[in-house]
Amino acid sequence: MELNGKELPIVKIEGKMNCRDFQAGYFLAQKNASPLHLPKVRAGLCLTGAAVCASMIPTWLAYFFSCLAPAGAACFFLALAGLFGFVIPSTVKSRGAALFASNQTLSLPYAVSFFPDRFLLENEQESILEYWTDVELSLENKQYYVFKGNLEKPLVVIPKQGLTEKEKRAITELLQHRLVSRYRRAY
Amino acid sequence: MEPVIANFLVTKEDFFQFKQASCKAELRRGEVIGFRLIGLALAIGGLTGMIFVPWGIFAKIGFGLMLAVSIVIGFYHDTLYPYLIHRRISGLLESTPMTAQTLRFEEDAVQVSSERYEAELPYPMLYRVYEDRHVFLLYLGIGELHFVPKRVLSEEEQQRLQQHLKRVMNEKYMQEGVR
Repeated sequence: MELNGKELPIVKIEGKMNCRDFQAGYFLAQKNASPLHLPKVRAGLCLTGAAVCASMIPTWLAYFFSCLAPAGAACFFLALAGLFGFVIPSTVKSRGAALFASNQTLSLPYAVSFFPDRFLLENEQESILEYWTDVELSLENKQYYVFKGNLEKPLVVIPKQGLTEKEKRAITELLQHRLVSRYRRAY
Repeated sequence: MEPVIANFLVTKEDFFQFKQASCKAELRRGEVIGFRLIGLALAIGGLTGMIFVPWGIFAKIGFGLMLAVSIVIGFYHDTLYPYLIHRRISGLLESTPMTAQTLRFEEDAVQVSSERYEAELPYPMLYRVYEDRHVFLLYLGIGELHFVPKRVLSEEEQQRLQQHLKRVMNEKYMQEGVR
């Protein structure tokens, strides 16, 4: 679509980011880097390990006097599950907050224009053009769109709050068609 | 101040030096000291074991390994770390397009202009500035930065820029080896 020789965006949205939104978007990007990065998966694997070790206790006692080794291993896996399930996610969120606090441009009001081959992110100080071919991973959940691994901005978080259903649908369709396997729904 | 203008096409060498500098800038002094101390403790343990502990050959091999590990850990940031950075950057080189950029340093702000990025960034908005032998790094925030290779500036421009950045950035200006 063109107007006076200028290409019109498919969707143009405006908004302002706050720390909570960026933190949530950052956490979403980190935990969805691969299935093994999901805290639930890591904690689940460790809990499975703990259960396996605990289930070995009766057999162990049949051969040895003490169940210290399997019980110790089970406790170790439980501690790891706690680390992956609670400690690391909260550290990642703190890191997101630190990133937001360090970068003053993130808190400026922004406008994002979505085109078939690119998106343009503008704020008071910057104008950033990113082509879909350079986006490494795009994630979408109920609250955010996240673009990771771009050339100019390493992480772009766009809250869905304030977008109409029509805008959301248009963006989702665009991402699905342009990014294909690099587009993921996240939870 | 008369503006300092850096107009350049990013070469692979520039990109390499930029990434190397950004890795060095992120390195914490405490981390380096910690590695050195762990290495030293292991080296003392390994040497003491090899000289004074009268066990068999396997114990000697164990203490020898401990000594070897102590060297790797103690000198990690001088040997293994640069190698790992080199490997990581080599992987990035092929996938990153080398584009032309212009940075114009004015009295109150720096203007950045490239094919995909236009910005006017007032100095108070910058998170920090880091300088090493080859580049100036301008941090917009943690993990987001622009750079100027020193090769594109004359000696006089480098000095002017250095003085200006020191003045406007105060404690947010850092130089290689100075914290």
